[in-house]
Order: sequence, then structure tokens, then C-alpha cells
Amino acid sequence: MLKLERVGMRFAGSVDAVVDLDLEVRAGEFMFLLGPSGSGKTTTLRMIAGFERATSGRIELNGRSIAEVPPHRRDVGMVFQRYALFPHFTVVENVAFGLKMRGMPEKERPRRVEEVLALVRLTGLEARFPDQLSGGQQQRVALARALAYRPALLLLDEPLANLDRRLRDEMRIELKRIQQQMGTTMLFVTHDQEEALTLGDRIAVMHQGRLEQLGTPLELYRKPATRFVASFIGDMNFLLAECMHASACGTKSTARLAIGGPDQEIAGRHPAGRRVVVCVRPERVVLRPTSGGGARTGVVKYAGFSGDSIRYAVALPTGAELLVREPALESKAGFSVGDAVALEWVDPVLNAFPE
Amino acid sequence: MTDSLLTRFGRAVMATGRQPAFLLAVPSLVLFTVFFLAPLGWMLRLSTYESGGAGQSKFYEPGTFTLARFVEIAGDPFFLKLGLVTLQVGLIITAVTMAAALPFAIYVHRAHGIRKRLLLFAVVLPKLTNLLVLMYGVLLLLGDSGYINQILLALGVVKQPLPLFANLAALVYGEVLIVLPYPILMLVAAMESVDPSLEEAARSLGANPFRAYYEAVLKLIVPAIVTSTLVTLIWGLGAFIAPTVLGSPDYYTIAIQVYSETLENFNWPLGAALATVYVAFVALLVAVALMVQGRVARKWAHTA
Amino acid sequence: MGTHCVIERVLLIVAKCAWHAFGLIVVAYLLVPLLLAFGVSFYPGRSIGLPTLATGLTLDWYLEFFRDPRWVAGLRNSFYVGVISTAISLVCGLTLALAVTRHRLRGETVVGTLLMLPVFVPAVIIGMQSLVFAQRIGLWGTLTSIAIAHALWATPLAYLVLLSGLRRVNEELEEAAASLGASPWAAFRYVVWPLIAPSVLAAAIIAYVISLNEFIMALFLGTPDTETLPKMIWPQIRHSVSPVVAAASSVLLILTVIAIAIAARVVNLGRAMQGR
Repeated sequence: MLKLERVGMRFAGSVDAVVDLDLEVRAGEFMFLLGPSGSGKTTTLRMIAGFERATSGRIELNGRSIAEVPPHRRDVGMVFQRYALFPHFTVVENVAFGLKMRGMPEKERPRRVEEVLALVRLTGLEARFPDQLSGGQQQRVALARALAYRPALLLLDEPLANLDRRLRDEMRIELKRIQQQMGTTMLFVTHDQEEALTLGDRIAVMHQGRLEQLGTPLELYRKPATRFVASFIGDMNFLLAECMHASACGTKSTARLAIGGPDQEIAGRHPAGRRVVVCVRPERVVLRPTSGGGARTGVVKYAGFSGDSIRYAVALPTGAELLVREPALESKAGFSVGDAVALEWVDPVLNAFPE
Repeated sequence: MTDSLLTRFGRAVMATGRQPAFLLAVPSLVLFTVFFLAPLGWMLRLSTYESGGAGQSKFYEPGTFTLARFVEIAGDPFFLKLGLVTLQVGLIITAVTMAAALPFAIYVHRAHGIRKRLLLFAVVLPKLTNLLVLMYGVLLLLGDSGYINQILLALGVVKQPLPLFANLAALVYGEVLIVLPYPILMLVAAMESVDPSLEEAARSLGANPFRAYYEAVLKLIVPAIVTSTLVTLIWGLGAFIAPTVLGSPDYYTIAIQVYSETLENFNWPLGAALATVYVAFVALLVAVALMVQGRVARKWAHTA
Repeated sequence: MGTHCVIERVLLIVAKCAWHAFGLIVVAYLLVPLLLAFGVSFYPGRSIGLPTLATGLTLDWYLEFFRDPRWVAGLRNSFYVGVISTAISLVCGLTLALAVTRHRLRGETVVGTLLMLPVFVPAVIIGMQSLVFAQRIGLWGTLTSIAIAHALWATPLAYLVLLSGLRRVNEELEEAAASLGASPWAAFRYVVWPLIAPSVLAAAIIAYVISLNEFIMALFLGTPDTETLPKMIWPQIRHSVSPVVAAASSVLLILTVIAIAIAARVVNLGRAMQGR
């Protein structure tokens, strides 16, 4: 339903904010734009909303190019990071504003407002002004206001960034519920990968104005396409290695890790002699007691208990540190700082990227 | 739909063209160019017309060009004295005004809460009321039968009323009253924009309160002091009301002469020429001040 | 050591007293003439004096002021000039402030500085150049010519007030309005305008007060038909000092103070409404 084709944004006298972005959002989808600040994700959102004009490329909504359509004629709702509630309107007036602007007859508005306020669970606060509401309530008003006229597409610009942690968790669940209930197509911008992973149907990871990878949360986590995605999504250890040879079938190679041990199989075809970084998730590492020394060993530098798991930092002979997360099982005694450990990974084949 | 016409008009304005920024700037640009710059230009041009001639049936002689008015001004000792008096009056007003404005600005800056608001109100009020009311009040104070003389006579300190007005002191007293709010407001605004933690930092580094204030506030507002002095001088040189009401003919300024040439003698070219001299002098003054300030700023930037 | 300390403390107290005395003197200097002019207008008696408990108060001078058609005409002229001048200042100030804050007008500081220029030009010069120009283009003898001259001073100040008012309105509000289907005009009408209304009123009052009290430009531009109140007071002050003049001056003073009080109330109210 929303389609971006080679969309670019260049601000006069500065670097490109967005470069050749291709993106397609399907109807009813909960899509995330994830990236660090300055990655161009907010600019992308503002181009879709019509607040910025793309300097190149094509944006289509329901098969129609919207480049020449001003923001108020696009059927696109938006929830702002700082809510942007109208301070001189009550909750009801805020929510009804979009209905009024879109010409809904005055008689029909109260029912719709009531409906959507019930949806975001704000019934009873109709007559309040925004500054009489808590941050979480303001957030709900902003959401209700954008949903009231049922836009084809709802854009959300880090809407939860200004809430404290508990409220944020609560609102995430609410959002998912509302999205499923209404079936609204949503494009959600965030820098919080946890948010994207838990809520998103699909996630587009952006970095320096470019799309790094587009996929489901599981794909991004299991098969990061680039080193940036690998490091940005979840915790990741990078181990230096040198590629020995590519395997015959061409989808795997063999590498020798700097920390020694048997040759490691890595995904992808890498030329022999290339230095690569091999990726290991902390929870995919298994520690075993050892007497010390030898290949693939290290010394526990830090051990921290966090309820369901224990986190370790293991100092490697190369000087690097390896993060490890093991489930805290009653049957298994943990390691202490200073213990020598041997390292193994659960997966036989690891992802690797050129260094 | 009571606002339908307004709404329609508003929509039309909003929809006009692709350059709303420029369109929106048009009214003020028109006001500035048509009603400020153009009149200024026309006044300059007018100063080079021949005067209207005997009987002054015309204010000026169209279709002529002459620099005679300026030659007249340059050659006549009357105008030389006028210029010197104006300069003298302007400088005295500036000196007195700044001598009061700087400490009082500090006084306001150091005050807090309601007291500060009241002080600022006291500064703004005379500026917002009619200057004539002010002058009237000063006359009531300083006149022959004014309050000061009444009190002095009643106390038997003097036998005759003191000549408290129609002199330079009264003129300065009155004009400073008119000008004073400008530099005070400019200086307070500059002081307010200085980060207050700087002063605390200076105090914590062992500077005594006076030194801390000097180092962390006053030194930083030197540009504002220069600017406000300049503005005061421009106003002082243009003094009109107080010299007329409170001064004596010995202390009539260029501004008064502009008025009387234009509206009493109906010699517009001469009035325009006098105004031109004033404008040229002030423009020169401002240019020099800006140059010096720029040079000093660059020097500071080098040493810093 | 002890005496030294005492001397130091005494000196400090003396210095403090002197400091506050200085502040008080400046305030007195600024306000006493105003209060005198105001007080005299209530003095019952033909001569000039301040009303006391013994003399009582009178409103005779105000009655005389309002009975004299010439004074009333002056007041009416002042009113018209003020209204026109305020309208000009608001239109120019608001449009420019919108151009700067909402459409990123290029050369904002240059335009702002240029517009500010007339404020630093003494009224005699503006009066002079406006007179010769008004005569040239046929505006001489109209109240409009005086109003335009006053607007040269009032517009920059109205602009500054409106600029800060508009800056306080988050631009995201307009984007939010647009995303809800509001055209730029509707966004302005329903969102921006209500939020800057206090600033608009404050700007209007400042512009009006400036025009109400300005008299040098009015002196240059005024003709017998277009005398504003201050222009009528002017010759009276120089030649005869009648308590009616005090009453006339006080009428201006009272109108001004009322206007400022309204402005102060409204601006505070606006802040309070925005929760600031």
C-alpha cells in the first residue's frame, strides 16, 4: 500500500539524509523503521507525511504518487514524539479536530470520538486539557487523535521515547492490541531495537541514510545482512578470523579464529586470506571449566546474576572481551571471576563479515 | 459562517504562489521602503532645491538643483554655533544618562521578584506615557512657582525663586528623563542574557563580589554598553522637546532649527538640509563605532 | 582586629544604604514628574498646586476638558490615528513574523534589523521626512499620514512581540494539524491564531500606546484639521500652564496605564493558559 522507490533526500549544503531508499509497506502491517539517530529514519517519515519534499525518487500510497499532494490531503496520520497536542483544546476537541477538518458532520463526531477514546482507554477524561494529563495519557490522546479519522496509514515518530520504562512497556502492549484491533497499517520509527523486535511484523534497519536490511525480527536477529545490523540488533560478539578457503558449494567458507581452535565454518563466500569478523551471540556461547591455557579459552573477568540468566565477560588471550549469557540453572554452578573457561558455540556455522 | 469572507481571503493569501515567505514579507517591506526609505531619499533630494522664495508661497522651487543650503550652513556662524551647541548638549546628555543608566541597570539586574518587576515598570512607564506629561511634570517641579522653589521659599532658604529652568541644567534634567529608559532596558537585557553561573564560578574561585561581578558580568556586556551609549548619543543629538520646553534660546539644537525652518519659516530645503546634516553625522558616527567595535572584537578574538 | 571588623561592617552598611538610596533616587526621578502632572489635575483652584486634605479634590478640569469641543476633537483624532497605526503595525508585524518563523524567510536578521532602524531615528527626522514626502504624494493633512509615521516606530515593536509569541508555538502543532487534514489556512485559523492571540493583543496595545503618546511626528504632519491630543497640549505647555493641560495629560496617562495593565494581564493569562 505504501511504496518508496529510490527515494532520496538531500539538504542543501550537507550530507545526504536519505539515499536511494526502497521500501514497501503492506496493508495492515506493523512496520518498523529502526536506526540510530541521524540514520534518516525520521526524515523518511516526514517525507511520507509530506512535511519534507523528497529530492529524488517516488512515493506511492495505494498505487498513486503523492509527491504533489500536500500533507493535509494525504490520507496519512501521524503521532509525534512530543505528542503535539493542541494546548487550547480539550481531549475531545483534540480528537475531533481531524474529523472536523475532514468534513465529518458535527452530529456524527461524538460517537466516533467516544469510540476511539474507549479504544485507547481514556473514557472519563474528555473535558481535560492536555496540560492536565500525565505523559502516558497525553500519548493516548495523540494516538486517539491520529486514529479517529481512520487514516490509511499511521506514522509514529518515536512515540514512546518520552515515557518512563514501565509506562512504555504498557503502551507497547496497548499499541499492538490497537493495531491488531483496528487493522491499521502502521509505520513506526524508533531507535529502540527492543521495541522493534517485540512489536514489529517487519523491520527496516537504516544506517547513514541507507536501508541496511529489511526483514522479520527473527531474520534480522538470526541472519543479519550487514555488520551494522549484526551489531545494532541485540548483543553481538565479533571475533577476528582469517578466511582459509571457500567451500565447494559456495555458500560457506572456512576460517581460522584468532583465538585458535579448530577451523570454523562461516556463512557466505569469502576469498581465502581475507580477514573477517565472526559473529557469536552471547547466548549461543557455552562455557566449560578448563584447567587453563590452550585454544579457545579465556578467563572470567565479570560475572553478574540477573534473575533468569548469568552474564559473563570473558577475557580472551587476544586482549578482546567476549560477552556470554547463560541461563541460570539450579543444576549448574556458575563460574566465578578468575575461573579459566573453554569456549564453545551452539551453532556449527557462524555469520561473518569482512573486517 | 461569519468568517467566510475572512476565511476565503486567508485561503487565497495562503494559496498565492510558491513563495509565501516573500509574499508575507511584502507589507513590512512596503512600509519600510515606501514610507521610510523613500521619504528619507526625498528629504535628501529636497535639501538641494532652491528655497521657495519671497512670501514663501511655495515650500521649495521644483526643478532646481543647488548646494546653496549646505554652503549656507557651512559658512554661517549661526549654524556653526548651532552645531556646537547640539554636540555639547548631546554629549552632556549622553554622559549623564550613561552615568545613571549603568549603575541603575546593575541595580535592576541584582533585584529579584516583584521588586525587579516594579523597577522595570518604573523604567518603562515614562517611556510609554506622553513625553509632554513628563515635561509638564518637570516644569511643575522646576518652574519659578514650581515645587522646589515653593519649598525653598517657604523654608526661607532663598528670598527670590531660583532660576531652575530655562537653562542647560533643566534641559539636561528633562532630556535625560526622556532618553534614560532606552539604555537601561538595553543594558538589563544584556545582563540578563549572561549566564548567572559565571558569576558564581568567579565567586567560588575566590574573587570578591565586586570583582566577580565585574569579571563575569560587566566585561561581557561591553558591546551592549557601547551600543546603548551610541543610541543615547543619537537621541541626545536629536534632542527636541526638553530644549524647547526647558532650555533657553542659547541652547536650541539642530532639531529645533529643523522644526522652525520647516514649519515656522516654511523654508523646506533649509530644514531638509539641516536634517540631512544630522543624518549624515549620525551615520558617520555609527559607521566609526561599528568599525572600532569590530576591530576591538577581532583583537579580543585573537588574544582569547 | 575587632575595631577593624566593626569599621568594615559599618562601611558595608553605609555602602548598602547609599546603593539603595541611589536606586530610589532614580525611580523618583523617573516617576515624580508623572505623579505631579497627575496630581495637579485634581487641584481645585485656578492656580497650580497639589490637592491636599484641606483643599480636597476636583474633577472640574476633566469636565472642562470634555466640554471643550477642541480637546474632544483632539482626543478623537488621536483615537483614529492610533487605530490606523495599530492596524498597520499588526498586519506588517504579523506577516513578517510569520514569514520568519513559519516559512524560513532568508535574511531574517537583515530584515529584522532594517525594520528596527526607524526606532533609532529621532522623531524629528521621521517627522521631517514624512512631512515632505506626504506633501509630495498628497497625503499631507490626513490622519493616515500621521498613522503611517507612527507605524514606523510601532511596527518593529509589534513584530518583536509577535515573533516571540509565534516562537512559543511549537511548529509540530501545525504539522499535527496538517496530518489531521487541516489546510495551512485552517491550521493557522484554529491552532496558531488562538495560541498567539494574547501576543497579538499585547502587540496591538503597545502599538496603540506608542501612537497615542507620540507627538513630534504629529507636530510636523498635523494640520489644524488633524491635531492629535498631544499636539494640542504642546503650545499650551510652552505658553500657559493651565490645569486643563494637566487634565489632558492625565487623560493620556490614564488611557496608557489602562492599556498596559490590560496587556500585562492578558500576557500573563496567556502564559498561564499554556501552563508556563
